[in-house]
Amino acid sequence: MAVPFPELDGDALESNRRPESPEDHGFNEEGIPILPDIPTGAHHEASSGGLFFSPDDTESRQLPPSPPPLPENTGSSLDPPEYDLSSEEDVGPVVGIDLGTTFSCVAVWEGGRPCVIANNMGNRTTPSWASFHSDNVFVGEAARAKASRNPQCAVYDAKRVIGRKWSDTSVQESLRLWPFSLAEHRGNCAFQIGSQLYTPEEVSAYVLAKMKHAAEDYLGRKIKKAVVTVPAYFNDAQRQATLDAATIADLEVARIINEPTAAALAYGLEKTEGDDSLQTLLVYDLGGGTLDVTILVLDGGVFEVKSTSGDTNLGGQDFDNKLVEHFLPEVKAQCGVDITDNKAKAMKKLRDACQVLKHNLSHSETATIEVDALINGKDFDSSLSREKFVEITHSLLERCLKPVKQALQDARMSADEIDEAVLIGGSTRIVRVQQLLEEMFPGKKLSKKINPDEAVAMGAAIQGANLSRAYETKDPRLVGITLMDVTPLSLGIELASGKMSTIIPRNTTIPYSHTRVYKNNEDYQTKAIVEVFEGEEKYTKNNRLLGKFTLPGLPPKRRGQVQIPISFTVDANGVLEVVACVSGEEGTTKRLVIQKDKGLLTEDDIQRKAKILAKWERKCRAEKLN
Amino acid sequence: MTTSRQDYYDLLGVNRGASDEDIKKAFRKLAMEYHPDRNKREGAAEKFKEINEAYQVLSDSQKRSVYDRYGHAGVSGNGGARGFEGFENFSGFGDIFDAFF
Repeated sequence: MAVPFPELDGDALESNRRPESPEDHGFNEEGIPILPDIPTGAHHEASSGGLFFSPDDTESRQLPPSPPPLPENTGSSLDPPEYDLSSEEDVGPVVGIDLGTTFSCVAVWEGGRPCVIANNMGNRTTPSWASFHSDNVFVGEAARAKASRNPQCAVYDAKRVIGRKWSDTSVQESLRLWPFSLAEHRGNCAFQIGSQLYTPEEVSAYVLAKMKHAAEDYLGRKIKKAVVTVPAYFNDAQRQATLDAATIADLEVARIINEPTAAALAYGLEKTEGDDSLQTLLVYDLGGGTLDVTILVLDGGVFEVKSTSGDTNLGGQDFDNKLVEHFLPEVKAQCGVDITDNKAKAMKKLRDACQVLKHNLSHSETATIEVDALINGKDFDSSLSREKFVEITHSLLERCLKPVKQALQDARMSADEIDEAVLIGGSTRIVRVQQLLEEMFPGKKLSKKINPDEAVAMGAAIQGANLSRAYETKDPRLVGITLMDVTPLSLGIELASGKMSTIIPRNTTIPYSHTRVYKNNEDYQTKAIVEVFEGEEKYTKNNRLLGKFTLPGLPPKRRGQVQIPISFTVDANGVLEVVACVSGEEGTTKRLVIQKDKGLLTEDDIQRKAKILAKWERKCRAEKLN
Repeated sequence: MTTSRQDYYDLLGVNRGASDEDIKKAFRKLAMEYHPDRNKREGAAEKFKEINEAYQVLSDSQKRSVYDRYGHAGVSGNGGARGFEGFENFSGFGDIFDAFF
């Protein structure tokens, strides 16, 4: 049969392999590895598991769209073994990066399995911290170390503010407890250090760059592409902002995937070996700042997500906050000072001690908190029982099961249909959280088989390998793995009544396409404004606007006489494309322009920040910093 | 725009009496073949969307019974849906009389 696509190129395959040692390519005078010239091929648009407008937002479209013609000479069917290499040039391994709220982790597919890469300190996870100083920027452990002496220069929790408006209640609520300053910047959030403002995208970019460095040092070659994970429940703006962060860090995003789905992939890869039985998993991912719950079915190599739910503002940090708030009056009594009053160093010390206390409560019934010289040379001592901890964090624990119930309802399943609950994220070590899940799934075992801190990055590395290699060259363990995710939020348009009309409901398997027909609201209306929203609220004013466009050229007819089919298409990357037209008596078609929702950063911002970061990277390499 | 009007059962390669499990199995098998991550051939993504559309209807017992009785017109949520007020909660009809903008 005809083979319409180029044969596998031996060189391309070769370059996929890890060189024997970094010396294979040498390093230039700045210490940056000199790499063989690898063709980058067609530039892929950054993509995501979320919902995005098509990047070619200014392109006019002729309606109605016709399905793309099948290439001639391809035989009679779409036989799966064919693989178009021309669109998938090899640019080296695609690493998987878990960009966490408090810790990040990078992994790569190597030797037939996902391998977590340790950073230059030998740690397998890196604190998602950056510390900004006049002469340098420190990231990871170095940033956290700097924070003891200069807490106002070190920032973290970028993930909790990325893609959020300054007015967001969750941002406002957290402000008081952060040792650093957050400021309003064009309606969004920015970290303020001295007179300088740093956007959350920029801070995340430094963390991503640090993870990239670790992978480059380990693999001895430049890394260009990554699969980056986000909480399943991240909205479009948060995903877009994460993509912008990757661009600033000079990383091309092969795919953004949802964290619980990634974890399931890592879990399932171990599980499916020699076991083809159908399994329904519930992934419970309680991290530093977010909770995600995903239900998915494993059938052979197919990972079909059934539903996903979550709370983008519930994680370990919130438990820390509760502890800090609990101890503040005691601190005041013992030390005689209110440390919330501009005492960043003391707040940092107390917070760190609370974190240790929380960790200790995961393996003992009571734990002590001891801070030497907390303020004005005075020490602070106290203790807390597990029971009291549950009482203090009661309001948070109550929120821990809500997304589980929602996910079950959306998947149209009952708790006993779940074969296994897989726990991911450091905060699932909290004993009470495990108890709550045990009560929810009586008699089921909670699986803690995979490392909760590393599973997400490992899953991202699996998907990275899956997306980067040609079908034929895939590792036998990867062959057959098909990941089908869902839309986390409903997508629709605004009706004249102000109500949301959903076109693609949440938890719909993607890629997916659906069309609904709408009617003109007024007599002789000449144009229609199509406003696209995401969210679950009945009225669009409570949902999030993704973008809008005007459809002109409605024929002069009475109310309800003009039909306007609007079609929503979400591709495998989660890119949303909206196409609308006017169907007249003769089936008239109209052109329209889809306007892309602007990310929070402008193209110029991104380019400028990318340059600064590239300079920093060179400096780090040259001076062996970070 | 949904131009395809191929029978949903045919698309999934199952008969009209197929069980929920049969439908799921058939979908996953086809997904392995046509999911755009696995099949980069032009047209594969379109094919997957058609299969997925069929799956979204047939895997939901309510939508499936509407499809069984009224065919594509019943589930595509277009103008032809007039008169289906009985399916208020069903995708496509909930606000068919409020679909003005």
